[in-house]
Parts: sequence; structure tokens; C-alpha cells
Amino acid sequence: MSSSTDSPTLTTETTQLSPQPDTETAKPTKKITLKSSDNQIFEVEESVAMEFATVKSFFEDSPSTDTVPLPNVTAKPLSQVIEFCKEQIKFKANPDEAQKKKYNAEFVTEKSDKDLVDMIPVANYLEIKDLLDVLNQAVADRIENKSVEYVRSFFGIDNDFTAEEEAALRREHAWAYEGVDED
Amino acid sequence: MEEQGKQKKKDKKPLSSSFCPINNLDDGCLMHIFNFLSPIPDRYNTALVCHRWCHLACHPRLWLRVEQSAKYLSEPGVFPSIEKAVSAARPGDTILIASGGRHLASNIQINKPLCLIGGGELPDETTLLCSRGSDSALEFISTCKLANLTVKAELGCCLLHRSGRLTIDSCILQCEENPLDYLSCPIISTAGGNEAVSSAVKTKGDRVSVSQTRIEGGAKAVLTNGDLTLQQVRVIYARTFVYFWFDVDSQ
Repeated sequence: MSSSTDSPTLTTETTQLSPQPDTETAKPTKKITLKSSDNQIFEVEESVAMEFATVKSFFEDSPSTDTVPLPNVTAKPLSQVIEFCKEQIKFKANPDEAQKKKYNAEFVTEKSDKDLVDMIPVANYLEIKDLLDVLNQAVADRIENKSVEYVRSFFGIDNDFTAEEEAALRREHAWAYEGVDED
Repeated sequence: MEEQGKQKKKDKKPLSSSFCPINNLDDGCLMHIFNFLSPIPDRYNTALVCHRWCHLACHPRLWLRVEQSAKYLSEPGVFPSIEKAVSAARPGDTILIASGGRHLASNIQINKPLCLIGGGELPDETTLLCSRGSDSALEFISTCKLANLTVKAELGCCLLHRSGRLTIDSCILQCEENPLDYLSCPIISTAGGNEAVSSAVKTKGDRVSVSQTRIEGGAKAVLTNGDLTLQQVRVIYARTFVYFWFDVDSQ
């Protein structure tokens, strides 16, 4: 998949960084195979896989394996997560905060709501903290300044409050709305 | 657990194309999202979406905390003093003040809507102490809510209400009885007076409402310098204490 086309650039990137003994340069080119729940195979650089805390600890426990099964993760969000992590590694090697911010912002704005929400459990399961922050911030931004009804229809959530419960809740929170203009 | 959630959702909406799996996220993830929202109005709005969101958006894990013991200070959202928590809070935040010990509170000005809650089972367990030489423990410019707290003033007043709507629920307000009793009052309201402050921050509906609160010591429970007056006073004489309910409102 896309991982094979992207890998040459990444390899040159990392070799530039550490032009040291052979053992060092050989390391980043090692491939790790990830297997999603729908049996798709992803081959990624070891450096990318090490961004996933869950995969990393899997290897620490059993270093001899080369395929990591990811039973909670489907292929589509996983491929997007891998794409994100590859970029982050480039930024790690070549820190540029402004560029990184720009990339992170573009990464989430071009995603559909479903893609965003699908990626969150993957980022959570793989324990990629940076990505989780970016995704959750993006979802929060999409809820921001929206009415309750809008948020419900936006996410397709059923209102399970009775009219009395909703009124009671509004009363309870009324103190916070004093002096705030109605939308 | 995740499976159960999915199953439930499927039963409800079998073939909806707009179906979005946000409710399949676990509690930690949803709370993380809510944490990015500003409390007013977004977090209060999300609380109205459904029962689960209400539970998570109002969860104490999203509150700021004031802890005196250093072991919690490394956690996010934990502050060593009320002053620091108040200045870091966003409008609409809730600040949980840890029980035990005494928290110093001298002329802390609150100029954004906040909710301060004592962390103990009873209001006695969380004490805010205003030492001599300060006008008040807490000074309210904005709408605010106090609950389950004890506020003690040695000299001066416990709460100084300048403007906004102040709600006091299940609290204890005490003024030291000696030696200058006549100089102190538990609640002073200057709202509606000719002060510069009240004209600068013009808020509609300045008022104080007090419920189930013990008020002890001081020259009188409420002193009003502005145009608000004491109304609808109710008192319950319990075996050991006297509990007040009243409003200070414009006529």
C-alpha cells in the first residue's frame, strides 16, 4: 500500500540523521508487520511502529515476533494513523513547530466526522498521545458553539431525557447562564 | 463493554446512514474531548445531549481542584491555593476545594462565573479562612455559586457581593465573635449602589440567594449598601444549629 511508496523518503531522512555505525543505520529500515482485525497487512518501518506504545510494549514482551495482531483496529483508520505517525517522525527528526501545527490542522480538517471519530479508539488503543490530543481537539472544535439540538443531529444521538429531566437540568445549570446571551 | 455499547446502538438504529459512532468511544476519550470545550456554553450544552454525556460532561474529573498536600500537585488541574485556581479557571468552571486543613482566602476577587464546592461530606470539613486585615474572604463581581463550604472571617466579612448573581447553598458563614463583633458581617452586598465597579460591570439581575446555610456571629447576617433588600426569609431551628433560606434582591 501507500507505505511502500513513502518508505524511501523516510529511509533517507533517518540515515541522514544518524550517519553512524552500521548497527545504528540498519535499525530504522527494519520492517514490522501489523495485522488489522479485518486481516489487512500493513508493513511499516520500525521507527513508525515504535510510535505506538502498545506495539512497542508488545515487542518488549516478545521481541522475536515480526507480526503484531491488532484485534481492535480496522484497516481504514489504521492506515490514516500510520500516515500521521510517519509525518510526526519527520517532524521529530527535523523540528519545525509551525510546519507541524499546519500539518496537524490539515490532517484533521480534511477528515470526515466519521473518520475522525473512527480514529480516536485506534489512537487510544495504540496509545499515541499526540494524535489523541489532535483528534479530540478537532472533535471538540466541531461541537464548539453549537446548540444542543445541532450536536444531537450531528452525531446522530438520541435524546434520552424526558422533558422534565431536561428542564430540571437546565434549572440546575441556570446559574452559569446568567448574563450570557441566548444564541 | 464496548461490544455491549455497540449492540445497544445497533438495536436502536439499525440502518441509519447518518449514524456516527461517537457514542462507541469509551468514557475516557469522551471526557478528553469535553475537556477541550469551554465550560460556558459548550460543556453545559453537551450535558443536555443525553444521559451519558451529562454524566461525563459534569464529571468531577473535569473540575479544577485545590489541594494543600503536595502529592497531588503534579496532576493536571490541581492548584495549591484558591487564588491560583480562580485565576486559571475558565468561565463556568467548577473548583473543588479539598477538605481538611484551612485554606487562606483574603480578598479573592471572582470576576468570572465559577462554582466553588467543598470536597468534604459536610460543609464543616472545608474551611476558608479570612485573616485579620482583609476586607473579605471572597469578593464577587460575577455570577457565582458556593456550595458545601465554611467561610470564616476574623475581622471584616465572609462574602462581599458587588454584582452578579450569587448562590450560596449548604454553607456555613462565621464571623469571629470577639472583640470587634460590630465591625463584621457575614454577607455584605453593595450591588446596585453608586460604586464605580457596579457601573463598569453592568449585569442584570444582581441578587444573592441563600439556602440551607448556617450564619453565625457578626453585627448582622446581611448588610446591604446598595439597592437590594432582604426578602423571603425562612429559618429552620434544628437541634444544634439555625439554618437560613433567604434572597437579597431588588424590590
